[in-house]
Amino acid sequence: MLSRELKKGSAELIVLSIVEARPRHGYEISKLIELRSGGEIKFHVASLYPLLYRLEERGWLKGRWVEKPGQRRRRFYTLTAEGRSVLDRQRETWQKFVRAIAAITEVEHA
Amino acid sequence: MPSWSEELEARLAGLRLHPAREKDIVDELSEHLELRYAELRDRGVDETEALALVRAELLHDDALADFMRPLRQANVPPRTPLPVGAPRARLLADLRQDLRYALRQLAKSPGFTAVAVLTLALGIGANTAVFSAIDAILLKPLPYPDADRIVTVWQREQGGTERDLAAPGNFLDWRERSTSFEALAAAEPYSHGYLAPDGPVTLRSWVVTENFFDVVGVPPLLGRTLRPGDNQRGEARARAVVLGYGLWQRRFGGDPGIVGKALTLDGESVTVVGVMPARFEFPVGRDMWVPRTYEGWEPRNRTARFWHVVGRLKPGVGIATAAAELDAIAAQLATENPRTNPNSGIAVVPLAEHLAGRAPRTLFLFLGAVGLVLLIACVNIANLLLARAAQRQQEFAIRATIGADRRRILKQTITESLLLGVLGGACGLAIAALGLAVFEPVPVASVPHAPAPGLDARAFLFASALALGSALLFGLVPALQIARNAGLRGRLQGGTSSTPAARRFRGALVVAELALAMVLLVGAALLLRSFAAVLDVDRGYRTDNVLAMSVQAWEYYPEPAQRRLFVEQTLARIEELPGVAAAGVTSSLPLAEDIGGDTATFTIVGRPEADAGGSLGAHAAAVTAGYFRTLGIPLRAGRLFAPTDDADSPRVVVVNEAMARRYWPGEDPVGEHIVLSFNAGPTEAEVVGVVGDVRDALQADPQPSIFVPHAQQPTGSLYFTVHAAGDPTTLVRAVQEEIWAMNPAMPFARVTTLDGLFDESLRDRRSMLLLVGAFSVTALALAAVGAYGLVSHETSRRSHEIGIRVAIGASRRRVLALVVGDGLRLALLGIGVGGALAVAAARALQGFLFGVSAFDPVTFVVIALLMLAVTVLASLMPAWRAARADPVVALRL
Repeated sequence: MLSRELKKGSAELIVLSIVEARPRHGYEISKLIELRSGGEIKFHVASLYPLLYRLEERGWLKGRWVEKPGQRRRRFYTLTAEGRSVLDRQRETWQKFVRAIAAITEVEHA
Repeated sequence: MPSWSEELEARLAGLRLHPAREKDIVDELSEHLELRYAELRDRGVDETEALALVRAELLHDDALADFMRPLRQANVPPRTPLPVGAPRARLLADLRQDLRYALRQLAKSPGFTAVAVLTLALGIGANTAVFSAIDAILLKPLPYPDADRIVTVWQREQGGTERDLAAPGNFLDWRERSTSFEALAAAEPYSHGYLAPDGPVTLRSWVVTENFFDVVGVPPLLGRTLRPGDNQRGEARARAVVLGYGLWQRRFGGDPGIVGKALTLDGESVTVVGVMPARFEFPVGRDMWVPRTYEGWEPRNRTARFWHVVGRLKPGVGIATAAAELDAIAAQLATENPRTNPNSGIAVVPLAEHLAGRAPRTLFLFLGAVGLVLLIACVNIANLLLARAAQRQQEFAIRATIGADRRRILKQTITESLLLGVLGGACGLAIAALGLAVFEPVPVASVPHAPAPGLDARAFLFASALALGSALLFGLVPALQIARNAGLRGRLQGGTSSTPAARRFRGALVVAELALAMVLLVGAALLLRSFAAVLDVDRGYRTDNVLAMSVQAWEYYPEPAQRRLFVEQTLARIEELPGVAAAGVTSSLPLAEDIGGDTATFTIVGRPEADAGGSLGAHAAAVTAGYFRTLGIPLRAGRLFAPTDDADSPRVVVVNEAMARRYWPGEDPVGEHIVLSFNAGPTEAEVVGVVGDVRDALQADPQPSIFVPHAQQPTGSLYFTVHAAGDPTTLVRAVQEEIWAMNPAMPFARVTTLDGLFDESLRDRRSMLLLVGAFSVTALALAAVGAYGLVSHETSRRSHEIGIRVAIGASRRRVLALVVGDGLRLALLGIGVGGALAVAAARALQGFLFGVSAFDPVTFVVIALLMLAVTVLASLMPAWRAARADPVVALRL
């Protein structure tokens, strides 16, 4: 099961975790990914938004326009209930995978 | 602050987004880009660079539209009908984007692209060139109205040739009694002397029956064609003649006022009544058409066969119907004329088929050969693509992760293949054009009427279809594999992995390449051995230092006695020339064009079949004794002709050994008598000598031949043959001078050497060998590249393993053997499969072979060894690299 889950995995996992705490807009999401990964992972506009739209189509995220006076309207993405359970599952699978890799690589170095 | 909406709208144009949704996306992304721009400016990046950076992120690999496309929102069916042209615009936008992506991918690996395009171009080019030849010769209809109704009609010979010319008496009866034809006409090739300003020349004509042009159905360019009145020879009326376009241009400068003018042919005045259009050559190219006048013995003659018969079938009448009717007429004629007409039937052959002759077989052989080359090219490219697919797994894995679905990836990889196909097709057309230009002087299969093969719309279509088909052939499997593997596996395992199944498949492809190459190589080797065998044939006569010049003396010396004297005196003068070893005359020369009829029928006196009226057939010629000496044909028994064998002495003949063997097996024919009909009524003659056999057609066994002394049958159709002490071409002028000294108006129809004739007779065989040889070497090279690619890929994949082996003590030689073993396995499999295929293919080649069996074991073994050697050589390079590799480096990798 590991590989099948992982196949769709890491990118979705990253985005879902970023909006777990609270709703965020696209630019904010891209900045947070870069920040939290220490600059190792970057999502540019061309790949980030299609991913957001896909997650939204699947019902894992919900986008909503927020207008504030004196600002352009912004679209905020919220994790749905379904999104939360997917996130939990993916997170678990990923950790299993990381542990497995660690175990393997340790044996390799011994 | 720049506005991004326009740029964004352009990116999204290829998608079918709902307009409101599109506006949302543009808003959202504009906001993002503006924020990003502001951020960069805050960090002190200058305006231009910030703009460029943001733009680059937006355009990155065209990812936006690519990743959007699989989404539901990007595929909204239009609610209101779109303005005309809009869907097409979107389709084009889609295509443009895919193409851009494919182009970028190909540009990224120029080495791969160059090899693939060149390989493909070679295959497509060769196929297109052969196709245009086939198209020109076989597929395009002849340039006559209702050309499919035009047929040739032949007298069939019992146990002899299927298509023999017709005797005048028989033709006239066929025409009178048959009802299948709109018109049935006869034509006889004829040569006329014409005194041009620059000396006497020979003009070649068809002497035709009055309804000849009804068969053709082509109107003249100028004047009129021949009509029934033209063949009656009035005292006061000049004969009519219709000129061919070529002659009109060449000799008369295209004079528009030529109609009505008089020419002098053979000393007689004739009137030009018309000129035929360019490229009209019927039945096959000669200079002009002259009406036949029926004179003397001709209309009654049923044994001398020298008329070419052509007919136009009535609409709705099939070939079989016409043939059945003519067969019935031939049977009647056989009953009515038992002495002259054996009942052996009549052949009706469509003109197109007759003209094509042996060309279709040759061309389809070529098509088979170039088809194999293309197939190998496709297999090779498929293999390259598979190797690339393995390298690109990471790229596709990433694409899959961020949203590209399988269909999308499949579409993109196939677009890449199609682009390769198009590039290969374009280069292939160039190669085809080049090939046609280069091989134009090598008429592989020259056929009258056929336009020169060229690259027209049909060839273009053919090349396009090939390019498309090839692209699908080599692109589909790798594309499917990429789409299947596009997933996480590639990303996690790194770039160079490939599954065992994929490796087995690639191995199978290389084996297929080697097998196909083997088929071609075996074919080429068999042709090569046939060529050597043909050169080795004992022809029975010498070809070096022999000059041959043909003249038609009939018109200058209408009386037999005059012709006899002309030959006698001219030969005497030629023999006096310095450098002449021997000189003679013959009415038929091996490998040369038939100039005056060369078949005879005969019966053997005292044999029962003679009394029953059955006559036998043989090749025949009127010669002087000098002819045997010039060609070095040996006397085996009896004597050659002597000066005493003249018009007044008893008739004599000399026969060849094949004739003696067949009709007097174990006996001496010298002293026997035969009754011979050779271009004249039957006469009894004594066999006085037997000479060695001469092979006319190199491939066939020598035919029974009868030689009569020219003095007793003084034909006007003559080849003067001269054996020179040195280079025979230096004698041409001197011999011509001697003949012109006898008659200054005598034109030469043909001046050649026997070496030249021999060379010409090998022309088709040589060019076939050359082409098939070239194709097979190409095939072997492609297959070797394929084997090399696979083995070196395998070796680099196993470098880790090899490193371990070396580290634990495997010798260099052991490593070398390991890798070469890979190549060897491929070669052996390829040879096994190829050998089996070659046995099947050799059957098709049988008709082209001579002196070697299609299943010649030596050829098969030699080619197998060659393939083995080439494959081992191809795997030696990677093997050597592997053996020299530092195990530490290999292990670290």
